[in-house]
Amino acid sequence: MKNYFFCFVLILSAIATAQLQKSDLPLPNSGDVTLPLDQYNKLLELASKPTKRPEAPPQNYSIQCAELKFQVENESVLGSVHLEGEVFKKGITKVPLIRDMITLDAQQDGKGVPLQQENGAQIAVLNGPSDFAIALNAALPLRLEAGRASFTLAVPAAGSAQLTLVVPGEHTSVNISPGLILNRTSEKGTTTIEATLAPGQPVNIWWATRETATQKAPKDARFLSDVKTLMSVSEAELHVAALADITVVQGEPTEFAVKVPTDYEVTGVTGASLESSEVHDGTLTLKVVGPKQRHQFLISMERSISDSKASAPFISFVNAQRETGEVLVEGTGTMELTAREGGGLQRIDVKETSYYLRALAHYPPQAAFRFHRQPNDQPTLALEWTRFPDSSVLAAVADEATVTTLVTSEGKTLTEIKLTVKNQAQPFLKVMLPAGASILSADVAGERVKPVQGPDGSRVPLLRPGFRPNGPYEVSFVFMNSGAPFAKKGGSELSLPSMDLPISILHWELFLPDRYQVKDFGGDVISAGLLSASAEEGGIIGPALTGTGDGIGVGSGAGAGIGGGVFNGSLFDKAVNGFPYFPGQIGGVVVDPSGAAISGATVTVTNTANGASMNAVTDSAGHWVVSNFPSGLGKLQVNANGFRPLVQTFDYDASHPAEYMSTLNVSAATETVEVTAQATPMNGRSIAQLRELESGAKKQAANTASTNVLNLQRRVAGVLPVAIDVPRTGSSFEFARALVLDEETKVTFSYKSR
Amino acid sequence: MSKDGKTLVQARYAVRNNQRNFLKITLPPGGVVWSASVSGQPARPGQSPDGSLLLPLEKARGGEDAPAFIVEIIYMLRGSAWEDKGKTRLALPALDLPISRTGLLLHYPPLFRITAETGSFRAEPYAGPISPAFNPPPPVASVMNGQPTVSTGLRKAENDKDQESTQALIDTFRAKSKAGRVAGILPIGIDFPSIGPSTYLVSELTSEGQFPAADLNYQRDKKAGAR
Repeated sequence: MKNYFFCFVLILSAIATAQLQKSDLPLPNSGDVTLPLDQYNKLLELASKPTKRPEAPPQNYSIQCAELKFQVENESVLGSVHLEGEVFKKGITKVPLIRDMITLDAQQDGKGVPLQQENGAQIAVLNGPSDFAIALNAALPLRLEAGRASFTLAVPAAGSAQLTLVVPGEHTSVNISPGLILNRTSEKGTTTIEATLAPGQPVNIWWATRETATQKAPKDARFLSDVKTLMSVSEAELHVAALADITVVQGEPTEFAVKVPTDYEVTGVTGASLESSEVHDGTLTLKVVGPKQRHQFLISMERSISDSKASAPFISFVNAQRETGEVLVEGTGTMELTAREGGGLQRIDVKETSYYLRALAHYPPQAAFRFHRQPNDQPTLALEWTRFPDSSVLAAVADEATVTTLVTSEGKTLTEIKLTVKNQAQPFLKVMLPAGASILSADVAGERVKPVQGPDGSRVPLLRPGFRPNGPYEVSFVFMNSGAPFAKKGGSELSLPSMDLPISILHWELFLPDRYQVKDFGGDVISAGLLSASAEEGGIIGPALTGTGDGIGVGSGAGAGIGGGVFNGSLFDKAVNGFPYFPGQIGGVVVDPSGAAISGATVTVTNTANGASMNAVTDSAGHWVVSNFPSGLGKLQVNANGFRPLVQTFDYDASHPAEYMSTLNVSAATETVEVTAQATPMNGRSIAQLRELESGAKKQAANTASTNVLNLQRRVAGVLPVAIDVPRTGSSFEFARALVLDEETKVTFSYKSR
Repeated sequence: MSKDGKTLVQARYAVRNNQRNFLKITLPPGGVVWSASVSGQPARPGQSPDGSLLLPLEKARGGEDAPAFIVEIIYMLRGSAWEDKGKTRLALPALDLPISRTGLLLHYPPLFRITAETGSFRAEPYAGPISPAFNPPPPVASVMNGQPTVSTGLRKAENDKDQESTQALIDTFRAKSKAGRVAGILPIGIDFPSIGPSTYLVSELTSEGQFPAADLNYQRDKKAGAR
C-alpha cells in the first residue's frame, strides 16, 4: 500500500513538472512568434538555399495504358484501341499511337484527331502539356491457312496493355505469344479472351479453325485515301502535284477513279503499281496491277491563270471510305501569297507537313493545311497573290584573271589572258582590244574556239548551264599588239582590253627584254609583292610568308609536321587546294610520306589554356576540320593505324581560318613525333593560292619568269601571223588589280637601254 | 574597297524567322546586285515597288526557337577614286529587321592606311560571328569531346522499300516538273576577293530601316607607296 502511494505521488510530481515546463515558453504577443535560436538559424539556412527548379521531363510524352478490343469478323480483325497518356513537353509533340494497323477513325473528346503516317506508324500531333485519351477504330488483316487462323498485333508502347479478343466458335483455343491470358469465356458461338500484353512488342495470336480456308467470292473494295497536294502558283499556270497513298482495307480493287477538277488538265500520272491511266468525262481512271494493300500515285495537273487569284482544287478519290491529306502552297519567283481556308481545312505549320510533300516543293512554302474530310465537308482554299518583278543579278563573273605579257624590243606585245569564268547566261565574252591588236587564238574549257570580230569588239563564245561544264571553267585568248619600238630610253604604257564581265582579281606578269632597265611603274595596278607585304602588315597573312624551308610556315622534322618538306606544291594541289574554311575553323589534310591521303585518321585539337579538346576524323581525301576554336595556343595530335602519332603545337588566331598538313611516317612501334607548327591563316584563300602568292613574291624579288611565260612562248609558236622575235630571256614584273569592271587596265614604266 | 573608288560588299545575315515571307533589303544608293543566296542556295531577289530587294525567307515551326540561317547579298558600289588623303563612307544595306550586331571586316587598298571615325562603328580586334549559322558544319564526321555527331541523314531508315518508291516518284516529278523551272537566271556564287590589309569594325543594335555606315579617314602610306 505504501508503494502504491509512493508511485501515485511520483506520477503527480511528473505531471506537475511537465506543466511547469510548458508554462516556461513565453506566450507570443499578437502577430509575433518566439522561436529558439537553433530553430531560427535552421529556418534561415533553409531560406538561403536556392529553390530547386523543376527538372525537365526525361521524355516528351508518356502513354500510360492501352486498352485493345478486337473481334474477328470474316477475314478481318476489327476493333478499337483506347490510349491514355500525358504530353509533358510544352508545345507541339508527335506521339506515336499504333503501327501496322489500318486506322479507320481517331477521336479525342468527341473530335477527330489528325494523324500522320510515318514508317507504318500512326502519329498524333498533340499540344502539351496536357493529358490525352484517344480512341482509334482500327483493322488488321487475318491470315487464314489450312486449319489455322492468325494475326500479328503491334502492341502500343504504353505502360500497360490489355486485350479483349472475340473469336468465332465456342471454346476456341486461342494462343498469344508473348502475352498472358487472364480469362476465357464462351457464349453464343464465340470465345472471348482477356489478356495482358507486352507493351511495344508485336504479339502473335493464333487459333485452330475447323474448316479450311475456302476461296471466297470477291467483295466490294473498301479503301482509304491520303492525298498530299502541292499547289504551285507560277507566272502563267497553277500547277498541282498530288502524292496519293491508297490503303486497301477490303477486296482487291483493280482501278481507282479520281475526279479531275474543272479547267484542269492532267499532265502526268506515275506510280509503281500503275498499269495505265486515262481521262474520260472529267474522271481520271487509274488501273493497277496485282492485288496490293497499298498503292501510291503521283498525279500532276495544271491550268492557266491570268488573274492574281484562284481557287485551289482538291483531288478526290471516288468511293474512298476515308479521305485525309495535306496541302502545301508555294509561289514561284518572288510573290506575296495569301491563302484563305474553309470547309474543314486546318491551317498548320509548314514544317509539320510530310517530308515527302515538302520535297516536292521548289520554293519556300508559304502556307500549309491538313484535312480529314467528313461526309458533308467540301474543303476550299482561296489563293490571292501579288507578284514582284525580279531584280537583275550578274550573268557571269571571272573569279580570277591571269595575264601574261611578253614585250619585244620592237615594242610589240603578246598577251595571254586566262579567265576563270562562272557563267549563268552570258553568250559571249566581249573584248575591246586596243587599236591595231588582234586575237591569235582562243580556248574555252580546253577547246579551241574562233572569236567573232564585230564593229564593237571581238566576241569569244562562252559555255552556259545546260551545256558542259556546269562549274567554273577557263577561257583564255592570246592577242598581239604592235606598239612603238623602244628607244634608248623613255616611257611606255601597256594596256589590257576591257572585257564585259567583272573580274574579282587580276594578276598581270610583264616579261620585258633583258636589254632594258625598267623602273617607275605606275597605272591602275599595284605590285603583286606590295599586295602580299601589305597583307602581312595588316595581319592577314602574317608570318605565313616568312617561313623557312621549302614551303609556307616553319617547323622541324623531316616530313613529320608542318614545315620543311610538308608544304610542297604537289601535295597541296592534290589534297588541299580549293577546300573552303571560315574564321574560327582549323582544318587540314593528313597524308603519308608519299603524299597519299590517309582516311579515318583521328585528329584531336586541344586548347592549351583550358584543355578543351575537339576531335575529327579525316574523310576519304584526308580532310578534317573543327569549328569554333578560340584564339590561343593549341595542340594537334594525329593518330592513324600503322603510322607514327604526330603532335603539333601552334598559336592560332581565330579571326582567320588555319590549315595544317600533317605527314605521318610509317611506324611499327608506338612512338610520337612532336613539332612546333605555324598556322597558315587563309583569309579566303586556299593554301595553294597563298603559296602561289609567296612564290610570286619571291620571284618578284628575283624578277624571274613564271611558267606562264614559258607556256605563252610555246603557245604562240606556230600561230603568229608575222615573224616576231619572241623574247626568250628577260625580267618579269608582277602586278595585281582588284575589281576590274569592263574597263582597261594600264601599266606605265620608264626604261633605259643597258 | 579599291583605290579607284569601287566597293564590293558581301553582306551575310544570320536570320531567325517564323512569320515573314521575305526579307526586305534596301541597298545604299547606286548599289548593283551581283549575287544573292538564302541558306547557301542561290536566290533570285525580287524588287519591291520602292526599289528594295525582297529575298524569300525560310520559316521555322511556330512556337519554337527559330534556327538561324544565312541570307547573303553581294553588291557593288562605285564612288570617287581615293586621293592621297581624305574621307570616305561605307554604307551598308538597310533591312526591315533589327540587327543585334554588325561585324564589318574591311579590306582596303594596300597603299593606304585608314582609321575609323567615331560613330556607330568602332574598331575592335577581330572576333568571329556570334551566330553558329555563320560556321557551317564541318565537311567530315566530327566528334566533340568523344561524343560522335551523327548526321541526321544517317538516322533515316532508308532501307524501307515504301520510302524508296516514294522518293523515286518525287525524284521523277522534280526532274520533269515545269513548276520549278525558272524563267530568268539564278545568281552566281561569287568568291569574295579578300585582298589587301583589313580592319575590323563593330556596331551594335541597328534598328530596322537604318543604313549602318562607317566613316573612314584614309591616307596614302608613304612607306608602302614606293613601287
